[in-house]
Amino acid sequence: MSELLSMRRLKDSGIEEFFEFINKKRVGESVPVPSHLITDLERSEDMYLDVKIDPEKIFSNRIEFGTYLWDKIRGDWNENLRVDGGLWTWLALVYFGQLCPPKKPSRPEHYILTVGKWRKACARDYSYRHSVLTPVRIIKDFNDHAEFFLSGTVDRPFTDMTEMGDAIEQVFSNQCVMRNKNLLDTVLSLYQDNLTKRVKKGSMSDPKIKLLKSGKWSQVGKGGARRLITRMIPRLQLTYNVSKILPNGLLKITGKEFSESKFINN
Amino acid sequence: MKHQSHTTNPTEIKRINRSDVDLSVGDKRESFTVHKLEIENLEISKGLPVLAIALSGFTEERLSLGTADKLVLPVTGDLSALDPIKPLQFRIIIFDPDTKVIVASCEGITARNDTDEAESVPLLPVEQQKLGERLWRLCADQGVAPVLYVNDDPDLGMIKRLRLGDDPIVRALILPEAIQQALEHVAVSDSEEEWRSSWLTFIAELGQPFPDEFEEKDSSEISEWAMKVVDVWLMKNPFKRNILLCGVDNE
Repeated sequence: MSELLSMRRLKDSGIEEFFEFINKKRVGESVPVPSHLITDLERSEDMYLDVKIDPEKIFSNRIEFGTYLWDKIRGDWNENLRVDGGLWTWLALVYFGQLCPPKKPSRPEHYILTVGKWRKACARDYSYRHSVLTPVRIIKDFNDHAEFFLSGTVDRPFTDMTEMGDAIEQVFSNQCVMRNKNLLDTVLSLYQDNLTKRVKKGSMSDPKIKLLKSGKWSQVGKGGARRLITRMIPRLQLTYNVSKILPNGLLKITGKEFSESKFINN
Repeated sequence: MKHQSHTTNPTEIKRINRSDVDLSVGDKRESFTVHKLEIENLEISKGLPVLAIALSGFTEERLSLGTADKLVLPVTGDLSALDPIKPLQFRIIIFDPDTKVIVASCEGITARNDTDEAESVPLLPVEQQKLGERLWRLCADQGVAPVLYVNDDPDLGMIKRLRLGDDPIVRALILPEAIQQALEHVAVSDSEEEWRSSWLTFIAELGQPFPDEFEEKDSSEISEWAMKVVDVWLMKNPFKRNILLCGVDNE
């Protein structure tokens, strides 16, 4: 085991340097990871929490990662930590080597938590994309569904920490769904594989209106999560108090696209 | 290609008039209060639950207002868990607790500010946001009413300058352009969106037509129409004349 690190947070100047590094790296510049910021006394500061982490620890996926960090931090948890951009950005920097895809880094919001001044450039709240906070939040609040959100699809399970996964983008991003048990249970009943607990193949696909060579219309995305969450539920909300309807009842009123879709009992 | 749209109401949801709702939001968007809800004239069963729902982007907050025959008002709800940047809108729903079917609703409500005159209904709500070096920006997201965002720097005092008419020049520089952009948003929005009704009333009260069908939503045609509506509005709100009068008075 390597030397343990006391939990720190990046100051604004440290976040700015990390941000510049990500952007340079994304356009192909050869720049070193600014690892010096992790312990830099000018651009980072101690959190004064009784928490130490192992910066060299290797995780096989984001479930293991989120579980490790949550175990470390749970004793000191308070809601202010959730919006502490400096802390989560510092953690993303510590484990950047494991979080960064092989070709180039993902967009900055995957490493820099978009809160406060770091939010203003974004039209939408992209904090759900954060590669450290989101696994921790899922382990903390949705531990029973961690495989669905953090371990990839049935046909392509994640084998490292470099990918976020579509369940985060399509489901976890929508707080109306995540904060409502009936809606979340409906989504899980349709799109979670019973055996592996991962995302069913094709359930998060973008719907396509495309005539195939066979003369039939493409079925991609039909009955999928994107259609359910962004099209069907908002429509039903005009007529029903959807959040009070149990999953079976909700499936009945969604119509055949969902109640008879290939994702039912599959 | 021209298109035609119409509103359907297959479950015969009763509409609660916007003027029967008074709803306000704190200056920093930290909370909202439902002050008034008049539903006595709706022919609905007693005892049905009534909810106020605050919406912002992909987040929402629900607040019980009691039942149709026993409303608990005023009541205040928390907004801290909502997306702070997306435009804030509200719905009031009354639903059947057995079938969960909505029997009456008021959709697309924009709230007045806590400090505004009670029961006033803002045509163009103003919210403070972190806008960097910008002083203002019109937020016109698809599906929701336009909202005028102003810089939240307390030293600028943008809300005060706009709301109280303390600074006629700031008002004159911002409002006509903001209203024009908002009108363009109204023109391209879906006719089923209920927040449009206050804008349609505004346009009608100015004696201006609202073209049912803009040719393929042609942007130059829409801009020209919006500019004309603003010109008519400016005749009733002569900013330039007021500024000049103020200037003379000050001398």
